[in-house]
Amino acid sequence: MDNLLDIKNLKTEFMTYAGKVSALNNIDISIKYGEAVGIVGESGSGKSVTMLSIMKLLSENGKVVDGRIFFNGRYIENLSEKEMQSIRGNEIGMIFQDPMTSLNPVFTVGYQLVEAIRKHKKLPRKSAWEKAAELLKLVGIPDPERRIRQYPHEFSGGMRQRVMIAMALSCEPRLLIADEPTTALDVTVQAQIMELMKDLKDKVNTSIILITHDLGLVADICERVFVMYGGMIVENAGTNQIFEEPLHPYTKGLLKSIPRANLGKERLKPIEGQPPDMIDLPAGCPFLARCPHAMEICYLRKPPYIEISDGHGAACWLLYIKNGGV
Amino acid sequence: MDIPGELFRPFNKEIIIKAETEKVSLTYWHDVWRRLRRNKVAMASMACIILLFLIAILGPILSPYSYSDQIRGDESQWPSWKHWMGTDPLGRDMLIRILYGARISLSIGVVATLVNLVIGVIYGGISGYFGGKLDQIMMRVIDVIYGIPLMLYVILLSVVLRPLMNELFKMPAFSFFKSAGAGLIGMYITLALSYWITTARIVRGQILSLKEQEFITAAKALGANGFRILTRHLIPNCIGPIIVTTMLLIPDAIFTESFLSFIGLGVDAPVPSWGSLASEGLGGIRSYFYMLLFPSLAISITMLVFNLFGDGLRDALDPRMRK
Amino acid sequence: MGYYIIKRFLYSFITLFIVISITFLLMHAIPGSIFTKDRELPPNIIKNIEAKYGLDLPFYQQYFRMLGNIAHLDFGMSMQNEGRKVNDIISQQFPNSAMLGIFALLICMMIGIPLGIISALKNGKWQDNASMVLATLGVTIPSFVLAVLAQYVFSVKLKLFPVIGFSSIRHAILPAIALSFFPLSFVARLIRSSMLETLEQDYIRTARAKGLAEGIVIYRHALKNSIIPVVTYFGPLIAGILTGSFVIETIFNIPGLGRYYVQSISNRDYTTIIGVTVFYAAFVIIMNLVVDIVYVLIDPRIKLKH
Repeated sequence: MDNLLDIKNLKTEFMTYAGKVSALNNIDISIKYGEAVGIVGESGSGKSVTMLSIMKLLSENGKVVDGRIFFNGRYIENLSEKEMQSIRGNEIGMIFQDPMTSLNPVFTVGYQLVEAIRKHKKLPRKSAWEKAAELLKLVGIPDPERRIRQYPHEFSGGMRQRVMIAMALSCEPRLLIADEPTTALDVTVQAQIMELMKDLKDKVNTSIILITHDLGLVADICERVFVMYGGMIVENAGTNQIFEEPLHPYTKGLLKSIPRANLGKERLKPIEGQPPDMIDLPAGCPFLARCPHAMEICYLRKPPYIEISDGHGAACWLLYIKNGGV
Repeated sequence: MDIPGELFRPFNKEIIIKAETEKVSLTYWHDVWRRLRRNKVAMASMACIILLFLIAILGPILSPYSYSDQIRGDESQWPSWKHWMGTDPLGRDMLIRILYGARISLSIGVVATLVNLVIGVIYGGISGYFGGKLDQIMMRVIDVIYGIPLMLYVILLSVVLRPLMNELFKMPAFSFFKSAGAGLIGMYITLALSYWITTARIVRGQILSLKEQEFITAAKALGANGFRILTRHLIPNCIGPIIVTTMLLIPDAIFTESFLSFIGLGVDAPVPSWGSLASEGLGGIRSYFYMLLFPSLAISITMLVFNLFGDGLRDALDPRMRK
Repeated sequence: MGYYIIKRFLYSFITLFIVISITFLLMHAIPGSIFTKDRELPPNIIKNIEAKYGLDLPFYQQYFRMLGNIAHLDFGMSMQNEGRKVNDIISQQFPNSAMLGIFALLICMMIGIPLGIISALKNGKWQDNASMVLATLGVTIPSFVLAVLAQYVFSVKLKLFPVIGFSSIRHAILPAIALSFFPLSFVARLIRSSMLETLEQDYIRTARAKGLAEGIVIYRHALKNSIIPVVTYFGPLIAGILTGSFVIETIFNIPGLGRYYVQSISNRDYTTIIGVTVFYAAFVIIMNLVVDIVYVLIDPRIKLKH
């Protein structure tokens, strides 16, 4: 098997005060060794839940109810908590959205890095600190020997995100999950962080999952894209394919809402309407209410995932018609 | 898959739009009431509080005794059908004395809270609304007062107020209050002046954060004047936290009164207060345990239901604070 | 940070000064001579006594005299106990109170903190419910009620402890427990809510994502962050134990400053009331200052802010 990660039919639910929320509905995702993929969707579409399901870090009210997750030769649903701990931070590194709150304010940056290193590598304390300083240097933090003894609040947002990246990379993971790594940052800092990630991707050769709502970032760094909506994968394509031949009406809408220099006099088009209420999700397509092509079948049944070419497909009844299903 | 072709007709979205609008939209207060009603502990506490007020008002009217009646031959009786909670060594019925104590505790809770509420809202409102230098000064004053241990200040005030009140009662204009006793009047004044700081801080905080919000700017842009903004927009928006603080102040005031009466600083004999009743009961702890038990239970249950109701109200008014 | 500490120090000083002034003013607002009380004394005797305590001086002179005395840590003579200095009373009685208070504080920390942690970790389970029922009772039932009931059950009925007095450790157990019950419950509730809030923070997720064991995540990453905000409540906590000692010492007949204070209030021993009030206020204010400084030292975030 040449896939690093294979998610099949993943279904995750949350019990909340207001009722049961089906956050993920039969998700399939696969990632090859060394590949960078993007997962794109609005907030609430289930991107982050997917990642937390992989890491088995869902909050107490969340539960994977169905599906298999195959990672680097093992099914993670079979692993004990202890075995998961040796995967987290070691084989899978994670970067979170908000660098301002993702580092523990009462420990120095160095302490938090060393903690991760020493958890997975049997290094003596001194060499672990040296390694931590090296990592800071790698992610472009000047004067690492001094900075390593400082607390997170002494770093700017961009610098903290660099620290988070250093921490995620500290044990040379097979997979790096970046959950909206630049959303909370200024635009200029965003560009620097993306530049850094591109750079590191070549240097350390890990697979990357970039979770974002920004197709532009995906085009920059990823080879494949999964588009999520309402807890479903609505389209999966190579990065070029998605820009050239989007299949799903939601993907088309997303592309229309990206500002582009060559747009000319055409106006940016937002997607009308609101994302669905995840508590009583309709039986059919989650995009129904906002879809310009909605049909009665969309109200009644979930659209099947249809592949139109190798590695490019979407879950939409329109494709079903196009492929001669009727 | 075999799907009938007519299902591929365009979908009439009005069906779901209609379904959306048919969902009842709840107003804030409806929502609060719904959450509160679902909280069984809070509802039970509310029932207890209402019952408590009813008993305190009606009890002494229905009772055959008065709180100061000394019934000859009935001294130090254990609870019986004649005296449900027994009698004290002077032959006074304990039940009626505890019911009177309830009147005192509840009235102190209500009066102290209302006065503190008014002072706190005015102080905090002015400080938060005008901001700037005035706010700075007013907050420094609060910082300083906050540093003073509250109970010491309360004790000191009640030490001083008692002789002051007695002096005042000598004047004809104030002699009317004499029947209530210097201790009780002093207690009202002391507690009315002691708890407004929390309210003031909360009101100020709320107003400061609300001031930044857009609907205030919008109201200003529409030409609403300062007073109107304060009364029509700011105050209604602080009402939630104010209610919660107020509810939690009531048990605080009741506690302080019984504490002071227990150490001999509260109401004057023969007026009974739960604190002084418990203190009297302490003397006879070996032989007349019931004299200690009933006032203690009365204080504890009252404190408990007010606190539980306050907690429930807080959860209902601000679900984000829910833990 | 130095600036912050100096500022806090100044505030404490101003607060103390205001407390002293308020105390002085309030005492002088009492109508008539403070010696008249119930017994009628001949005017010339009153005059003599007033001269002895400096009460014949003009108002402002008395004020400055008192400020001067307090600056020299001299609280004057007791009015009811002839010939006893308030300073001596404090230094004789306060150690007993302090011992009881420290005992209570220890119980409060050793039980309250674990109780709060267990509650937060078992959020919603029976352990949480049981602890929170206990803690709710603890913050709502007045300490004097608890104390007298405990005294009745454990000392009078079961005879497990001496009823009153303060001559051995066994004498101190019941009062200390009664005194600690409120702060213990208070701390348990605070730690619980602080811990629950901390456990939802992003950096806890980061710590888990690093592969740290759950125990380390909780006891290293969550606990330190949860306890820091609780430190700020130590000031009110100490003040609470102090006022609690007024009734606990009275109930258990412990020869501490709290019981003495209550007695001097009912005896209208005004110099003692002033002296002990100022002493208590100073004690609480200094404790608040210490707590603030400790807080600054243990929370690295504050160093830059101020």
